[in-house]
Amino acid sequence: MTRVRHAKVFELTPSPTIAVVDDDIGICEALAELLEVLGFQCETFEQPDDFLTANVNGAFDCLITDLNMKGMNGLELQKRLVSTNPQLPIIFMSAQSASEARSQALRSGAIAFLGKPINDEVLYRHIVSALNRGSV
Amino acid sequence: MKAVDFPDGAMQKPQEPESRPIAYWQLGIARARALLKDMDPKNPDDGQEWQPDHLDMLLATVQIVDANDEAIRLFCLPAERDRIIDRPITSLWPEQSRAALGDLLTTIVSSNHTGPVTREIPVVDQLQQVVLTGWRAFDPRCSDTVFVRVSAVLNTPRAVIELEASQNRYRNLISSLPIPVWQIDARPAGRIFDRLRAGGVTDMAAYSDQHPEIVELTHDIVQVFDVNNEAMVLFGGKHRSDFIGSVKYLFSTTPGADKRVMLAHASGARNHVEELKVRTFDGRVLDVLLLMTFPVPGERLDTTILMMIDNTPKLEAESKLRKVESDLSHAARLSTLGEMTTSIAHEIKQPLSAILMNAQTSLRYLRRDEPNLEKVDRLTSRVIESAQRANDIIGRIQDMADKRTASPVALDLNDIVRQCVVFLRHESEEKNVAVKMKLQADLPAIRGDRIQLQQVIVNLMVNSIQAMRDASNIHREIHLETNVIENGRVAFSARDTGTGIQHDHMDKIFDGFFTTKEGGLGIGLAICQSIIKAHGGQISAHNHPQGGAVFSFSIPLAVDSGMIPAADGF
Repeated sequence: MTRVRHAKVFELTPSPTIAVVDDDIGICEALAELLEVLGFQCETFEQPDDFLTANVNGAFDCLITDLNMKGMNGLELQKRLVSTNPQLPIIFMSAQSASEARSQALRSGAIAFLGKPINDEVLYRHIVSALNRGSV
Repeated sequence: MKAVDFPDGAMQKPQEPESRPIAYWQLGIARARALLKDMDPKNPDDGQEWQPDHLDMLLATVQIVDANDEAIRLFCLPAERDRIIDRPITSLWPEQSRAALGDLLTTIVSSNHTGPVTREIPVVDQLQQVVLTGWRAFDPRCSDTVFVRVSAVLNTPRAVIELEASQNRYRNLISSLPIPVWQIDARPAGRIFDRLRAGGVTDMAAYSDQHPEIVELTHDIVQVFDVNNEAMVLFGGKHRSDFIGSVKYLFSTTPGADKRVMLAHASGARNHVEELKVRTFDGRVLDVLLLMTFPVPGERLDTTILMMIDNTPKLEAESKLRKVESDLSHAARLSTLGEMTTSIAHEIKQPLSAILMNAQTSLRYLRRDEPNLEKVDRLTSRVIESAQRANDIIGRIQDMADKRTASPVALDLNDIVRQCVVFLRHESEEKNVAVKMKLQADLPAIRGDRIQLQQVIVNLMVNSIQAMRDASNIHREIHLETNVIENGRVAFSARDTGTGIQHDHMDKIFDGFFTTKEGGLGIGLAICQSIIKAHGGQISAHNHPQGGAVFSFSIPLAVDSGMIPAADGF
């Protein structure tokens, strides 16, 4: 099933680019490598503000963001994007269970809220569904 | 001098006028033979200056085999015979006639005939016209036995009665004292010191550094001659004779004690007090307080009094108290860690997530038809880095969670503050608290235990974070400061921007089991206070004029490390 969708994505958007925002550089690097092996292009940001600066003219097809970050947390970032870039599908990650934040994120339109550590298959499925939704 | 006839080896009192009491001593000279032969009667002190004089050496090896009642009376000996028999004669023989006795014994041993030898001394203590007569046992099987007969005229008959009364009073006093008492004859050591001083030695400490043998020699020659029952009970000895002899056994378990005692004696000090460890005859090791009183002229110079007070129960109680404090402090650390479980879990999950993702990516590269080993190599290196990071985090937590004994070392308080900030980074970020540091550069070292001081600072910071959690819509900040203050102390302060300390709580916050936190143990600040006190410091709290609570403590610098008591425990 995954393989079918995989093929479909490539037909629809030949080189989807995914933005990763996490203030932990170790997570950024690991996620970038994983996305690369899964066949995606990727850009990582340790500061949410840097991402916002780079996110112009539909630069990204999907955003994966951490929930807890210094300065601006994931929910605040989502709030900013709802007004400026409502089409961008968002996947949240968090090392905490944070059920309140989880429901708020999903209510505001997030594709998924994944607990760390992240399983690669699960992440892949959610990215594919995010890209499909974005392309609809 | 009149010739006297003696029955062979007899101890019976011959017929004598009432006014001339006759004392008989039976002495064993087996151990003294070597010394007696070497002795040059013309120049008895031909040894090196630091050696005890020959007389002391000699008389310490001459053993009392028996003495008659008259001897006990005339020489003021202990009334119980078991306190006399087998003792060296050195401490029981009067000072003024030591030389005469030594000379007498030397002559008897060196002469071939077994006939009596006599020496006369005009006055010895209460006695006049003292005549010593000595002879070897006639039976060749007892060649090491020498008899000494002492006849004398008493100054006045009254003197005897007074002497006896005074002796009895003294003996009763010592034996009925409710603490262990040793009676010691330290005169031989005193004579060595006198001789050294006469030879120009002024600094005995320096002299004994150059001639370490003197310590052992003086303690060989200084003899215990009596102990009371309390002393026997303390040392678990069955026979008084076990206690009689060289004082060495009293000082051998504490390194340096023998030298300190010797120097105290040589300095002319009246008293010497120190804490000792002693090994008893039944193998126990006791902590005792040693109290020694050296006689001064005008007193009985033959008696140095040594007492011991058993400190073992007191020290055991102190050790138990330290254990309780240590357990409590450990409980406080666990409680702090417990409050941080969420942020600790979060912090460890970060490197674990990275490890998992890198491993999953590696597997994907490996399972390709043409595995990309270059990628796998790089990813595996990152796995190792992240695993190391996770391990460091767990190590920090283990440090806090472990039961341990404190080990004071020289520390930079700034380092400790920075470590605490790292330790609480997740906790503070999660609670939206900004931690600001203003640490004075080149802070002088303090002496203390790293984990204990970390515990204090982490505790104060966690309190601040929690205090600000309750207050919504405020700028959440903790300001940490270090600096040097007057009196050579290093100070630390933590100020938060919370609601401050309630006025009526101010006096109670350092009390044990006082808490305003739901589910709090109320021991955190009490433990902080006891840790800082154990470091010779002080901790206090007040409210900042611009709001928020300030907790501060100060600790002496490492140069004053003597101010830190043995802060083990915690």
